[in-house]
Amino acid sequence: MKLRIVFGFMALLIWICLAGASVADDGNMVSDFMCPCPDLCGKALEVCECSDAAIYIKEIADFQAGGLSRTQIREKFVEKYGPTVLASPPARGFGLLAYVLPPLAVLAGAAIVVALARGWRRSQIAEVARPKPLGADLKKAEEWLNKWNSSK
Amino acid sequence: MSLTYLGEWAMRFDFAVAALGTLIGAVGLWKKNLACLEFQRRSLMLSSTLVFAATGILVYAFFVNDFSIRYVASYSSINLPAGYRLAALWAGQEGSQLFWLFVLAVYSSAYMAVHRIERGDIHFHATGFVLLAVQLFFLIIVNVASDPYTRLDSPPPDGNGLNPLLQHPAMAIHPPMLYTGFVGMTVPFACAMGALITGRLDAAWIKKCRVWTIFSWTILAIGIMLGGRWAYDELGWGGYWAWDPVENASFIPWLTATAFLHSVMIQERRGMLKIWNMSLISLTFLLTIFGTYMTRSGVVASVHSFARQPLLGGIFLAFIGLTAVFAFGLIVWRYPALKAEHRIESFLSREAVFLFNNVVLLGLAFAVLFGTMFPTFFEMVKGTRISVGPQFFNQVTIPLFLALLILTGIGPTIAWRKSSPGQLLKNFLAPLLGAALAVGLLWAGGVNQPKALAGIGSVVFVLGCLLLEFIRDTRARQRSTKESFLPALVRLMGKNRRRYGGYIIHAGVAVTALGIIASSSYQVHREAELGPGQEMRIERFRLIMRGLTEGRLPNATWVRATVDVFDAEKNIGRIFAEKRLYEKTEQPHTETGLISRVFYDFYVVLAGWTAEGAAILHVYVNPLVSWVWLGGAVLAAGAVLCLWPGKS
Repeated sequence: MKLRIVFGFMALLIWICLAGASVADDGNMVSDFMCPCPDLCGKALEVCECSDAAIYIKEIADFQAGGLSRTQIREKFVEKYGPTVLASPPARGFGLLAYVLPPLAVLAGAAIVVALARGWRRSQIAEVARPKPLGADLKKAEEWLNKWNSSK
Repeated sequence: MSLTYLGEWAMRFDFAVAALGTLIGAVGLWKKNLACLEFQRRSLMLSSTLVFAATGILVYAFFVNDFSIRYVASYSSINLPAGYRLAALWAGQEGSQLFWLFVLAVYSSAYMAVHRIERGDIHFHATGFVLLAVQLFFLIIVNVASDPYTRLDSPPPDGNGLNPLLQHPAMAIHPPMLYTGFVGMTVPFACAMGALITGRLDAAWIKKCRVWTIFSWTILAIGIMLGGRWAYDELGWGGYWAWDPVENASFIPWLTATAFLHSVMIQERRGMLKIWNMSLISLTFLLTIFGTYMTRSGVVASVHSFARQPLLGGIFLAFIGLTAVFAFGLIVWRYPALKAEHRIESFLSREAVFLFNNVVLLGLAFAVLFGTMFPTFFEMVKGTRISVGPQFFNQVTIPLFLALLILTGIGPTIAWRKSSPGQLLKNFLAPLLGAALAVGLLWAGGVNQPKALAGIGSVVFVLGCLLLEFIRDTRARQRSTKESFLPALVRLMGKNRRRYGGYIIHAGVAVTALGIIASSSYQVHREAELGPGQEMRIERFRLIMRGLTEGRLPNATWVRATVDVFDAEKNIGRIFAEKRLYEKTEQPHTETGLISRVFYDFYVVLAGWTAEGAAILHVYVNPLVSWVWLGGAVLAAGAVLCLWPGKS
């Protein structure tokens, strides 16, 4: 039961945030792109201070003003500047691995921990369940001990 | 003959010293021969001294403008201000490798000095052996693949100058801090390997290892924070963390070291997770080397990284492979001695929470590492290169950070071995109600982003848990000693510095998290073109542009916008936002204008200007951003309390 709560909680957290991020459309499209400047600065467009960055940002704003959707703008940019312009891997094919593997690794890690801990607990329970010495045995042992002590 | 040749010879000779010392040390450990081990110790001391000489003389070469050394000609110039000549040491590939070695030599010397009374102990020598072996690896790097002393046949009259981004006071502190934290992870790794080599797997190595790990972990955390501050002040985009591969390379081992610091407590208290802890500290060290490989070999593109160097990359990969085989081979060899003494009794226990904390921390480390390397994997599989930017990292890591934040509150307040539902209710009811109240109030006040609400709710929960723990423990002390509250609290913390230092560190993490959540969720940004006397509004603030002025520095020209800022009608200050053009590099460079207050930062960037004298300004209002660094200061204070030496 407790195990299910832990897993349920973690899965819910991951789902909420991934789902939230994937549908987020706050109009800030700049964060979707890397700077495609000829210098290959390798920075995200929103953090880039190279002189060309303003031109690309304006291009996005013009597309938005022209009524293009987020997907259409992304497609236009990929067509013009290549796939490296996108700030996230494509969520399909091999690119999907980037999104799926980290949460899966965490869940697998949690599952391993829980399985190991359960195994430990089972062996502990088995140890506890071993027959305990009876009162008579203890009394006998105590008599032997007293006898041995007095013989010293 | 130039003095700088002495530095070069020191570096070359050091290679032989370290190689011989490592070889004799290995024989000494194998035969348990104290004379060989003493030779190894002296070799380590001599090797470190030679590294200091090689580094010091290269710095001297910068100060005397010895442009016959290619590295000096590439990263310095006659008009470079003296203060930045030291920073030039770590500005490029070759110098940064030598600096890595220098920091390692400082650590090796410090280890030898701090533990000198253990000279008769074989663990001391085994640790020294590992330190010397790592030193030897970096000596191979600087002598073979990345030589900072390469000479030019015809020295230029002047050098190329230093990257303007590095010409900032924080750059004199941030990289050394980062290196000190990063390289410091070698010492706990060496302690752990020393314990495995000698079979001395009692509590002594853990005690030693933990102190060195906390020290390096704290310095690395401060280094990362300072890097954020530098990015915030210098890069001019209103933020402080861009998930750049070099930033990630420093963050990943910090995460695994955090996991180690938690799981090692379980080993100390319950004799569990011995194999896990050995693996974690080995992984942390391997990640520091892998991080250096990532950014030095050119395998990933980064604003900080250097050109692609296949030979260097190959040497790094070989070392990583050999170290992994060595470390995990030793763990397998000592497996019988690493078996756990106790078992987990309940999932409602501190051990279980720490284990889940380890899972989340390692999951985060994996997510960041995988994301950083994914463009390389994608290129290998699909033949085309893609980018992985902040958007991806935010998306994948935020849920994990939230889970980690919640565990930060639960961990310190849940009992070891087993907690009853009654205890849980007593510990968590009030913090949960506090978090619910905070979320309700924020919702009513217009904060409606789910991630921000979840994050701030978690922060309130964590701080509530920690506050209650402090109050409960102080009251318990008051009952037995009859002291008043404050003296009881101070003495309580003094008696158990490690525990309460840890709580303060957790509070620091929560405060930093609050700053990150607020500033990333509710940053307001506007752009405007303003002529002299013109004004703009952003939120409740009003800006009046006063004018543009021009000026000169010894190695740059600047254009400065002067802006007055008003909160309603009250003048809260004057901001100067600059654009500099450095003569040698001809790179434009931003100096942001900033007014920093407790609850917000007012941040202005001069993006450009028109022929008519109007300034193009980017203006940001960043709520609670200074709390990011305030949390860092709290974290550092907690770490100092943890490390403060006791009377014993």
